[in-house]
Amino acid sequence: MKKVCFLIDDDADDQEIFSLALSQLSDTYECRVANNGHEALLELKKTKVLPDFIFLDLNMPKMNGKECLKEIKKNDRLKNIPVIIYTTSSSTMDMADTKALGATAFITKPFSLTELTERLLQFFETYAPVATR
Amino acid sequence: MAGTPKTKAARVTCTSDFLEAVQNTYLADFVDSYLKVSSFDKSSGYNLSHGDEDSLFDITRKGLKEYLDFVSSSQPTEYASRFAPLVQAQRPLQNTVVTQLIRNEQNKKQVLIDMVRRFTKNVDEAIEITTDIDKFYTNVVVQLVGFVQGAAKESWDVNEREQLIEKLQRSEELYKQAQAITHVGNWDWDISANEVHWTDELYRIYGMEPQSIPITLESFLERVHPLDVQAVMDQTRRTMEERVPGNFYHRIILPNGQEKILHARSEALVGADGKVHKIIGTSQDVTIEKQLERKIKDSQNFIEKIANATPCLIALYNIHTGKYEFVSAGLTKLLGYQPEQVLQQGIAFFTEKIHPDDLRPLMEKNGEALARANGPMTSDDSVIVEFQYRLRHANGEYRWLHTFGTVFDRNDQNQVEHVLNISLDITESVNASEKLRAKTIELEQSNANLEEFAFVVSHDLKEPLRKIITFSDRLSATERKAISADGKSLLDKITNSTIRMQQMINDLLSLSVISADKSFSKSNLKSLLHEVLITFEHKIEEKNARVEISELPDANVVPSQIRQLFQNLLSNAFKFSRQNVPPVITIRHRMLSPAEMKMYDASGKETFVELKIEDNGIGFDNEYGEKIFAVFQRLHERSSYEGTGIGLAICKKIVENHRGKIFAHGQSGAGATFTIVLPL
Repeated sequence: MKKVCFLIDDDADDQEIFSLALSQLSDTYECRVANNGHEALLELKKTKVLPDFIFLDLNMPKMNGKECLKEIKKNDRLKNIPVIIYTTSSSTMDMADTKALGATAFITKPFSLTELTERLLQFFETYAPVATR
Repeated sequence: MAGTPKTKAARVTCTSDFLEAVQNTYLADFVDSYLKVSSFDKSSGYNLSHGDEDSLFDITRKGLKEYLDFVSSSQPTEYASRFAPLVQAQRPLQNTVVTQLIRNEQNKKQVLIDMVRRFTKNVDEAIEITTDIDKFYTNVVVQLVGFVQGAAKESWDVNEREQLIEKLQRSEELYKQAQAITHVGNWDWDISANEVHWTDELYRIYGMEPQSIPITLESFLERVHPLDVQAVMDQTRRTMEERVPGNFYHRIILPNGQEKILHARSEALVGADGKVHKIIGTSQDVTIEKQLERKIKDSQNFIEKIANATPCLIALYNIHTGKYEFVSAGLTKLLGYQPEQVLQQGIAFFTEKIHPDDLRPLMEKNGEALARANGPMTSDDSVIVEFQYRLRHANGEYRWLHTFGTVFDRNDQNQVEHVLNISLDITESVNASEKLRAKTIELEQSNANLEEFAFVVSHDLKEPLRKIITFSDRLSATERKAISADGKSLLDKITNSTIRMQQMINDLLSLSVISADKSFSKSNLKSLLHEVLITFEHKIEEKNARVEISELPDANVVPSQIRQLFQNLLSNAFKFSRQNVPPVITIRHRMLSPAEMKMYDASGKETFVELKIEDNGIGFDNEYGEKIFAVFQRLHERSSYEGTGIGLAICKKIVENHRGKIFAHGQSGAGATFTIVLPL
């Protein structure tokens, strides 16, 4: 069974880069996307198959990352899914805030695809070693 | 009364004829009966005074009435001028009669005493005889006074007499002392006889031997200062003709040329015929007093001139009356009001003009200061209390005043009575510092804005840049074969430029967040430096470098920033090393002396450490000492030394965030030294 990574990010380029990195990493991951927190929550409440990981951007229209994270953690069905913050920010304050809200990890969007692949690999090895190739 | 004539005689052993005569006749008789002067008078051949001594002494027994009868029959003129008005006026004039009598007796007594002194060289004897004469006359006076007062009182009891004797002896003594101490001389001028009589003290005042020459109006006027003669004459005429009592000042010139100032008082004595027969008066030497008065006046004038010339408001306030007793002309200069307004209205004048917001705090502070000054602990009146408040100018504008208040004097209960206030107009400086504060806030705001701007810009710039890198990376990875060699080269240039831009943005970003980080903690500077040095291990080995570090102290710093500071400085030192010369980097420190610290902290409360990081690299021209700390400032071609040119700007910002200073000194080809001064 493929592991489902749900990316919530309003940037289409980033969605593309992310799924590219994921596909390069392993074929065990399936990427699904939502364009903002609002849309993501609707989708998550509706879906029968819950994602294994949620990758969450912070800076988004309608509902931003932190608000979305709060909602996820409030929802009994969703709250145990690991949430990984995936953002341009490298601010220590954002790191601390999201950690307090229950985020599992924090990945600052790197400058190259190779780097992103490495960061994702690093993450999965730490949090879900079984899933790696 | 003295002892018996025999003991008296035994004691007096002077052999002169005069003293024998005195011993045999006068003293013996006077102790016995007071009255046998006439025989002495005749035997010695001395005319004591005006020739009526026998009768006078009789008077002491027979009473004033007989004396007056005697005078009126033997010397009608004298009687008319001297006694008739007194007798007529009766009781109200009793005191004048008494005074007159006492004076007469004193004059006679003085003549006797002077005579004794002229005849004997033996001081003790002279004193003894003088004392007896003194007692005798005192008794005579007592009798006379008793008679005069007896006119209103039937009996003259012995006790009262004794008391009066004592009183007279004392008053006689006091009178003499008083004349000498107060420099008061008496005079009287018998107009018809043009005879002027001066007391000894008056002679002394005029610088003459007592009773050395007879005085007339003319000889008196000769001694008056030429410029005052007219005034003295006018005054005398007024006293004489209009009977206006004189009370005036005039100058006199002494035989030795010295000038004196006298305070003269005079009064006319009117006879039964209604004419002025005599003028009596006193003259007091007030030269010193007048000089003092003059000095005081001068110094008062001086103080007033100062008070009114200074551009501040000086006021003397009476706490108990609420009134001002002095207000300088500064009031007009500072606030446009007239001092008279304040003098009239008192404290209310100010309270209604003080800015409503300042009145209460001012009153409270003033009350506290006053309570302190009146409290048991304070006796130090040099304490100065300061107030700053706004006061309404006559033109309606508020002016800022700075008032210095101090205790001026205290009353008998040691409570503050007067307060001296000196006020300066500090409106200009208040406005200036207000402006400065506003500017500082504005500047801080603008700095903060700038940092936020840098943060936002660099943060958002990263987004597209990241994509350029990612996609060009992707392009060169997937389409490499399809691209020509030129295309590849161009693609590499794009990638390199974006990487550089990414570095610059990262640096800008870190520069913009430095000031916001205030997570200070006590850290050891040497440990922080060591942590950084570990990252350079490889470089040190590769370049065969030597790093020398002295012991460094603990300091209150943001550890991550200090690490970054060392990181940047060391990285520069390695980067700008000379080719084929192994880098030698020394890091030393020393504590600043109190005098040096003043340059960094005016309060002198903090301790500062100075760190020097010195290398033997390529150095730089000292004229760039300031410039190299500017953002994106580079001294070298990028091709020869990589870097964004922001490293030292970050260093400067970090040091400034620690309220420190950083300086650079260099010499082209001979190394660079970075000096950092940090508060501990």
